[in-house]
Amino acid sequence: MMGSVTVDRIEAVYRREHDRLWRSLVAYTGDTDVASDAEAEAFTQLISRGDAVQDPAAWVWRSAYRIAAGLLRDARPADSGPPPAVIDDPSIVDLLGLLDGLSRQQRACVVLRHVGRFTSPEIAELLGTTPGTVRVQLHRAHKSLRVTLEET
Amino acid sequence: MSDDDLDPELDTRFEALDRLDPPDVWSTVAATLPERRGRPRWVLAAAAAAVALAGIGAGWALWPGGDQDDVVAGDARSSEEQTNVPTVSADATGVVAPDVVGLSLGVARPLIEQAGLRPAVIEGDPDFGPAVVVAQKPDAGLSVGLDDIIGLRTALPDPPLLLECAGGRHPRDGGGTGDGLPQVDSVSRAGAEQAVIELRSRLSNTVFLGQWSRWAWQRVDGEVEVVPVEGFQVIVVADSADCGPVAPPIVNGVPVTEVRGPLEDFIAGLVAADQQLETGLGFTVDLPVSWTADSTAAADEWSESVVGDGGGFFRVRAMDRPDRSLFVDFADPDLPDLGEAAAEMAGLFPPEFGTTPEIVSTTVDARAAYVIIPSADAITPETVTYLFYSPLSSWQFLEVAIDRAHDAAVMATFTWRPDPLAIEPTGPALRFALQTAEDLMVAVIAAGIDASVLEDPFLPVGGVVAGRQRRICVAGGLVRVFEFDSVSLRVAESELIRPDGQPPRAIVAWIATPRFYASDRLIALHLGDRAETIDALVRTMGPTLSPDATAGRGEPGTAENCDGELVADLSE
Repeated sequence: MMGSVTVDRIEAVYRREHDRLWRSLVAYTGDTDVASDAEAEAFTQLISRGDAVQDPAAWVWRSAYRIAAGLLRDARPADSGPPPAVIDDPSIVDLLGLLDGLSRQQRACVVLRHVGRFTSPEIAELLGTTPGTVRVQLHRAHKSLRVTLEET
Repeated sequence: MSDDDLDPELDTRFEALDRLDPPDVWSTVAATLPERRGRPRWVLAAAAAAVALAGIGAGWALWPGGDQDDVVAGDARSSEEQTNVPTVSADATGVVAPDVVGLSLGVARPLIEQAGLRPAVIEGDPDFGPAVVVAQKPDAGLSVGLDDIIGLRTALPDPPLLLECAGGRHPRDGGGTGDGLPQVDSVSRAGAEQAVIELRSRLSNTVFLGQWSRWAWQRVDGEVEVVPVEGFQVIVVADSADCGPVAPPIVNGVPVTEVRGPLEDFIAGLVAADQQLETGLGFTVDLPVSWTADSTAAADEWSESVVGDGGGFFRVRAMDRPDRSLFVDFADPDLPDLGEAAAEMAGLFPPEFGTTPEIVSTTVDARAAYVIIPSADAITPETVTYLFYSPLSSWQFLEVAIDRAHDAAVMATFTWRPDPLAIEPTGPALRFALQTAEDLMVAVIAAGIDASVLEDPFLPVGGVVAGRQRRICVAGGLVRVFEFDSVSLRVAESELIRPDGQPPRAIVAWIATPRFYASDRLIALHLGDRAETIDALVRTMGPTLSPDATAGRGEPGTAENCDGELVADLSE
């Protein structure tokens, strides 16, 4: 049975990871609502697994990104939900626009590197791929971003 | 770690995110805790676990499917109570529980959600989409309340076809848990390895090691067991006159690596190679390991990466972990040429090795391929990389790569000898959840047939049938794919397609034979008689919906190619 100790432990993970995780999800998805939904669902699922998860922080990062990817994939232009929350900070809007030019995987790698501050091997673990893959994606993402920045 | 992959300018731009004030997401999470009506999944899981601990061994029976509020963690009821007929919500408002038995979990879950209900896997792995729903509570057709939970029991998808050979025993034929589920939940890698070693005295057979998510099939003296392991699977197919030594290279859509020969030799070879690598090169290989398909690649990675228009795709296999691989986006405009991709990969080798890897061009199945070979003294887990361009079925590349790159290494013990009989499924044996054009493409490729998605952002929504229209190229023939948001929507549309090939809501004067197919959320249409294209669609989606169709005002024997031109079918 799920004990309060476990919930407390997960809440501690939340307090420690939340800001960084949520901001990175915003950068990854470009949508604050999707970021909040993905993070909430990840923590809810983490609670459902309780003590079975050995590294809750890593698990919730990995799951949040997968959930966010699923939410983005399922999103349809005709969705009749509430309008997405508006980000009015021009620097952030510019940043998100810049990231829009990347593939989904490149964007995840870049965001996890720059916002999550994870190393390539750590990102590889989170995304279920290899450090070599991550390095390739980062290399190509940076190259693409630099080109875009020079053009603008 | 150095910050050589941290772009300083970009890093500064990301600092802007610090000005965003994160909301209190925890309040949303806490709202799912059990004080609230509508039990979250963890309550159900805990309840099932409690039953298991109580020795009842039938957590499924606990789930009444009725008033979910009665189900609380630790509520282990008596066996008598567990056999009660499921009740339905007292405030049923006409929502009918859909029939999802027999569907994969990945298909069943959205179907339930679309009915306004909530799926919950009571027994089985809720994250294992390919699992098959073998039971549901409440039963299909019962009226239930909106937002009620539909409890699901899932089982493994069908085991390898050859395990069903004469004289064999299918896991679902009874015995054990009745559906072949093992009685163990977690077997360590070492435990699985030990199992293989123990078996070697009893078997002189073919061993299959396959990296997959969590399941393994073992066949021992006619018995079939399913053994879940962490991160890889062991498939042992006993030699017998009935079954023969060959297992299919694709197990439920996941290609496996085949190792032949006496098991003792195989184990000894692995150990020797491992020792050689460990002592000579500092390369530790976890045993047993295997080259397999991209089983650990996330679905997203797969679908995003194999998109291309050249009838194949780039594949990069980075050897830092033998069980994982990387796809490089074929459509990436930065990589118009495979040779450039190889050069880029070679250039990314860690500079501390001070070596420029050799790039060897070769061919695999008459296609260009490159093997990136570091100098022998630079072999590390980070530096052995293969890159090739090939359809999924071209695992002969492994032999090429192994021979040329490091034939003394552990991978030399793996060989690939495809058996034509084993790779020819009968009917739609390669069961994939078909929700997008990319899904269909992957299923076709897994069947050994070239396919690629043709990107065209200007295609209209709908066409001769509703749905989002996409196009894929299958064995040189154009296939229009119509994606639907649900299986029920797709079924509603496909039922309107007439056997003579006339679509819903229109009468079309076809210029070639319209061949419609439907499966899961997709309807596919191929115009023409291109045999390979038709074969691929039948194998992945089942028989055509339009068996009586004719070429109309067109000429029989013609087909629409991937450029949309009507040409004589040259596939013969």
